[in-house]
Amino acid sequence: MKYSEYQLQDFLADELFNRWIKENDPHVDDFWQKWLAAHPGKAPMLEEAARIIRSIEYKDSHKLSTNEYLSLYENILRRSEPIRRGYRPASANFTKIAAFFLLLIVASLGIWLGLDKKDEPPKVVSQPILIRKNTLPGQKLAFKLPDGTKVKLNASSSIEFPKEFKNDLREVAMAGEAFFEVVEDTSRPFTVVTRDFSTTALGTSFNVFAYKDENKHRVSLLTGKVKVESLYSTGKPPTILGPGEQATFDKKQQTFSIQVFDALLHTGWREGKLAFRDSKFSDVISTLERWYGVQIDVLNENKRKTDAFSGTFSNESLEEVLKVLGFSGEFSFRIKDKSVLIEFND
Amino acid sequence: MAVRNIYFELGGENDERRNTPSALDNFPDPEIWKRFISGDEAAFAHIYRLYVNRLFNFGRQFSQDSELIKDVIQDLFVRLRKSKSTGKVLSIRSYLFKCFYRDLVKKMEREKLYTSPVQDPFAISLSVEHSLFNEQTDEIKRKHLTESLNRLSTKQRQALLLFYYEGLSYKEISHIFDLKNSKSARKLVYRSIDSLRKIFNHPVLWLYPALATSIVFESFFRR
Repeated sequence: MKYSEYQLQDFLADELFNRWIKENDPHVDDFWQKWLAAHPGKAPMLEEAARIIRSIEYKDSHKLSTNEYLSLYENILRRSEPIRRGYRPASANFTKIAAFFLLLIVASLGIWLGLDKKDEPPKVVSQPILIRKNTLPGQKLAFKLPDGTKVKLNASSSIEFPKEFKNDLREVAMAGEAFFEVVEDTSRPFTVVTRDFSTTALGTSFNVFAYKDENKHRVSLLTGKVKVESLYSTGKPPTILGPGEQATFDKKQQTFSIQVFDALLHTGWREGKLAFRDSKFSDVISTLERWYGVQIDVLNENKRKTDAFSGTFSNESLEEVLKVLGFSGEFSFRIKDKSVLIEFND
Repeated sequence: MAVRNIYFELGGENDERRNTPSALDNFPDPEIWKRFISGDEAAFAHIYRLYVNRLFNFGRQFSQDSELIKDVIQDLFVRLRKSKSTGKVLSIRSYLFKCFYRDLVKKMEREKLYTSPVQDPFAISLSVEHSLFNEQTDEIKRKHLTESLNRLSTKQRQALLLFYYEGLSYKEISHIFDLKNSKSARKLVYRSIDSLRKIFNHPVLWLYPALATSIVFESFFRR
């Protein structure tokens, strides 16, 4: 069968195609680029196949902890040391070499041990030294960046920033949700990079919502002025936001739309205020899962009569929140440790 | 923008090669292996860094006993370091996987640890990051696909993960599992894929690609 007659499943099972997607082989790349140019109609199929291949992964993936990683390395070195009686110099020399490499690894990983990272892949942090902070579901974290900018990190979020900002730039990377109160410094713009776009400010306070499992990523500005820009925009002018405005990113169009936003709804989480206003059921569930660090399962969702949930809660327990929402939404619930079962009633 | 790369690490990039460049990255496997066998510690550090977590994860799919898996890895590396075999190793990855798999099965048999096997060996999930699966229509498809994938036999899932996730060739896969030849490995993958054909050819599938903009397309094939 020729490639031009291939269906999706044929591409998926094709070794050369898989190699193109997985490896960085210039020869293979050359072939497929040329083939694609000759068969532009097949582009969507190839794209779909590529997407499936890239998304396949282990459901339960396991990694050595940093300690395990180091001690296993050390054990291998020690256990394989050649036993050479009466010939010390060579042995000492070997130990020296081994110690050197071990030291190298320990030194570079040491940076990491200090960062409270448990199950992360070992890596060598190069200049500049980056600091990463994470929150688990149900956690929030407030801290200051090296320039004094205040950050409040919402649940299930990560942020990474350099130990010291450079002279002309303050840049941080973030996934999840965070609120920034940026220290004014007109010579050094402050930029938050998230999956699809960047948000740049001089001195303002704003909220960035960019969980990877959420569709609608947005930036909500309380004070000052910020600029938002798609990472992949092709020459589109940046979008400028004023106080009280919110930009929502449309992934398909790679553009932003601007709305006026409800501060309580979008930035209330900083003060422990959880608010829903005509919110979709699926949004309510994912918000509650993050907020309380629970897993929510739903029974009889086909009996759900409304998809607009409202309520404002201030530091209330999950039980209280579900009681209120369940009353108007006509569902009952059970909480057992970290799992919640919601059941819609007839 | 330097920070952009950091973001992708936050997203969970699997390829450790990209996170930590090493001087040996551009060397072909046989050369790295030659250096490793001749006692070059930098070559060992390089191999250890690239493969130890992959082997560990692979092993954890068979047994929940982390200590046992670490023992197997340790013994394997110690043995390789001591051996002075001059055999040519074309692909370090598949050589290590093969040795490790063989050792692991032996050790598990010896210690009769089959009694506490992993509940869901080689379960597959489809990540949202690399795809546009977070579109709502795609979400439905993703669920279907994930369910069907996990209904396949363990052997089939093993082959799929090695082929797609680890990026091994059919030849390498047949080598690891002692299959007759690379055709058998291909058959294993193709049959699994073919059984999912119904989902692939569902109209919903083509909804998104049809709308795909050239921007998205570009970013897919240019890495």
